[in-house]
Amino acid sequence: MIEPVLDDRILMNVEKPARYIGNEQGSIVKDKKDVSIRFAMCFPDVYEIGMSHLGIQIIYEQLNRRSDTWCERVYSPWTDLAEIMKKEQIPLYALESQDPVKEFDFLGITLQYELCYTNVLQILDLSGIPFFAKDRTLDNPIVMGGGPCTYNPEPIAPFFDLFYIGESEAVMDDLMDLYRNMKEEGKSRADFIKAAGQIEGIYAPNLYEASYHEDGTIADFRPLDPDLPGKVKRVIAPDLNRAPYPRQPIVPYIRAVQDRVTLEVQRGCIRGCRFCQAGIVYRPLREKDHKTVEEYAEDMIKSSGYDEISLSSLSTSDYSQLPELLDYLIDRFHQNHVNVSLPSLRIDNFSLDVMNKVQDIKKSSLTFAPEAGTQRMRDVINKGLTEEDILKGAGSAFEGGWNKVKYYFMLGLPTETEEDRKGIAHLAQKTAELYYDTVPKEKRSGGVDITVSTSFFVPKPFTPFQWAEMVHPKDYIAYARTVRNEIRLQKNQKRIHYKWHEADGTVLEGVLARGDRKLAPAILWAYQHGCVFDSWVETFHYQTWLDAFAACGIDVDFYTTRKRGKEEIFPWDFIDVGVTKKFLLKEWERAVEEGVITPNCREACSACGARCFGQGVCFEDKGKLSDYAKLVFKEGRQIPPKEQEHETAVQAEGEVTS
Amino acid sequence: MKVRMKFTKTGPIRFVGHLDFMRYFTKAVARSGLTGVYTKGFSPHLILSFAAPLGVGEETLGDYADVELAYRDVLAEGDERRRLDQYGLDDDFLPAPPTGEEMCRAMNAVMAEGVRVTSCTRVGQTKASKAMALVRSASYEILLKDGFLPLEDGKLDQGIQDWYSQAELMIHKKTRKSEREVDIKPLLKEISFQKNAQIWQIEPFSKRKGYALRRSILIRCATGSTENLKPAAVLEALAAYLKLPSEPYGYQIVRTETYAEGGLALSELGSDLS
Repeated sequence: MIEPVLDDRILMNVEKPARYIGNEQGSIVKDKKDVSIRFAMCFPDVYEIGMSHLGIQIIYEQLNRRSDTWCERVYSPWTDLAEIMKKEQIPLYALESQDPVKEFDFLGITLQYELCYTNVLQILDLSGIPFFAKDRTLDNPIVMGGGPCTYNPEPIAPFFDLFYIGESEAVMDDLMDLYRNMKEEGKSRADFIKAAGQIEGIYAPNLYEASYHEDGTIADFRPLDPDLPGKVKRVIAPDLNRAPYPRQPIVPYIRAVQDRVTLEVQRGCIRGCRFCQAGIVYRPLREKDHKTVEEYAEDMIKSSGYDEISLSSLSTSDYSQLPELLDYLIDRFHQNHVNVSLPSLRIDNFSLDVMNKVQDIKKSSLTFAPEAGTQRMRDVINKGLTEEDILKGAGSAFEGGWNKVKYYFMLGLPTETEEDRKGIAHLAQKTAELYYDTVPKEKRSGGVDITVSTSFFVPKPFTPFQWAEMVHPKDYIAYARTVRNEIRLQKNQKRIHYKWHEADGTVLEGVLARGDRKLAPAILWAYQHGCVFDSWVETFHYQTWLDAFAACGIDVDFYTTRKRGKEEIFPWDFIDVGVTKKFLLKEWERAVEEGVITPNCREACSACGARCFGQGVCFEDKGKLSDYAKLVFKEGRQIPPKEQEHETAVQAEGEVTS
Repeated sequence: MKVRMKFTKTGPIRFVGHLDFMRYFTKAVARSGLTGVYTKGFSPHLILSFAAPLGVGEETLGDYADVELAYRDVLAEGDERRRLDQYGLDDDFLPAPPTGEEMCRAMNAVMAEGVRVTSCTRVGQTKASKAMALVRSASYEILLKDGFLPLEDGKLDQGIQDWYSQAELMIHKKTRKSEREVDIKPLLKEISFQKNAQIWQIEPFSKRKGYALRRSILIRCATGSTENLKPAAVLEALAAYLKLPSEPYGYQIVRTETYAEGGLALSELGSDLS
């Protein structure tokens, strides 16, 4: 039994002390004398959020399978504890051993959202690790970043020794082997970092240099050492069915955000929504065999005692083995009081039957994400969803006994007009009317309840919208007002609730998402002036960030509202995610110049480049066009993309036009 | 069948609050392979109740949870049979129960460190047998950190006896509604100074840092819904009497047993499962 390193006096005076004690069922304790690599895996946010992250659980399982490695967890202490630790100079520690992070060989930090960057600096600060990689010595852990934000790691590049670009299953073991061997040989930190940078998927940022044009855009970006690759290639798991997956998840004592068994059914997404980074950088879609998933479900429920299973993927409706899997799960676990939940269902193939099967519990609200209010706008973002689809989905929900519907939209999309914003209100009104048309009076319990939420669009690297200009901060609020005012004009406005939030966080996210190395000093300045937990409303200080940018000579508009040319070299262009820049540019043009949709990966191959990985949907038969796509292509309104490179794609095109 | 599980909660898990610990216990039952009885309806939950909630930071060697398990209860009669019906179970068709020892083993195989089920007994289904309603008192071993109540052993022992021998032990009690003087003497059944008590032989206490002097105070006091006295209030009053500072975390509270009317431990009210 490992006693908490923090004294009772401290733990009893902070919020939720159980965040800091470790010792949970499923956590792995090894003898540190038996291992040669100690790996601290960090999610730079509070415990309840970090514990809900599937990626870390996979890495934890993968690394702890190695007998030479002990992987432990680290989360951000909440502000109350961070203050005490700083004041009393208590070094940040890992949960399992309660040993200081600074004694570890690796500090891996998952970067899930840009607004965690100051938390990363807090982790380094509390651990007693120098902020800048160049100031670290052999005594300091190798600080390595991973996760979605590594698809543009440049704003935080100086703080990291390495970035892992891709899926941990691919080269993590190679990296650990390399480290152990070089450590045994007594090689230097610099030697290891350079050698690591030669492994496919590993980026050693401080061995690269950027030069800039006078206007601030990038002129050139290259390695300082000829042995390092000019392009860093994203790596993916060789075979998802055989990849390590936690059979015995860690069960937190306190309620985590995801307090259930999470089963990953597939990676990647066929949809290609033009705003979505995950839809591009996790390509190609790779399904897991439902038998494998079922086997894991069995073990995980048994070992955790959870009473809920959640299927995880970017778009679970696209999982082709969903019917078999659901039948099994419901059949197997229903009598054991285990519920199955299905986030990420699409409206167009929304199946009342499925929802009724899995949700025989409370008919709470159903959430749909049309993302845009008009068909024109939905076509620009390639959502591939008609108003009819949306209303059909809502109608089925009403018939099935639901009376609460939540809609998610984005504001500030490329080419968006007043009409598109008002369209959000109109769609909500049509939904309300549909309720009264569908549900007879005697069955209306409490009336319909429609919640409309909007968020502001942030262009992300490696999306067709990476060229998009962001709108001016003051416009965001005006846009939200347009939606609100238009909702108020609707007949059933009392049934429609509208939620939006401040735009300040959006601007910051916009700067950091598409930023370059020049931002690093500003991020450090912001942290040193009190910014931390920027993704939390109560701890976000926008003015301090503006001061930071001013102090460091950063022009916010350069990163947000500036129009980017088609020829511009982006800070993240040195990463090869599989999907080509040529494809993204073509998609950008199809969106804003032609306003046409592109079929999804199962309908037709658009030759995005992800086929280079040699796996997944790229090698399935094509031609399964959705009703909507069939309709629009038949009407000749839009045409599938030209320049098909693969035979299967050409065949699909032939089918469509015939 | 209602099974009364006696359990320990020691070590880091002491920082897990009562509600979170109940959720932990529910999952442990699910993991154990023992078949629990769940409520019917939209969100089924295990039928589980705890005898006396423990405060965050406190440890126990003798707490109780009553769990409804789907095994045949041969001793159930009359009213008790009907209680099973409401969960859609017919006692005649349920499997025979494992022994108490087997139940302990099943639970302990899936517990986090620091939580151990030390006995399982069968209890009746009537309202009067509800664990929470039965609790009258509890005994506590209060481990004194080095530097807390810094008197030499003999003096501290004498001081405790002097304090307790007073006719009244008035404390100032502050609640949300009122502030008043209360006499805790009737609630405090026993108090004594202990040196090298048996608890120091048991893990995790034997290894805990900051207790080199191996000193503790043993108390037994009213606990439960009718009358309740918090050990912390006793320590505070004692420190005040001794004119010594009362640091809130200068000691560790360990509950050692929970008693019903007549000084019987709650487990003694159940029948053995063998």
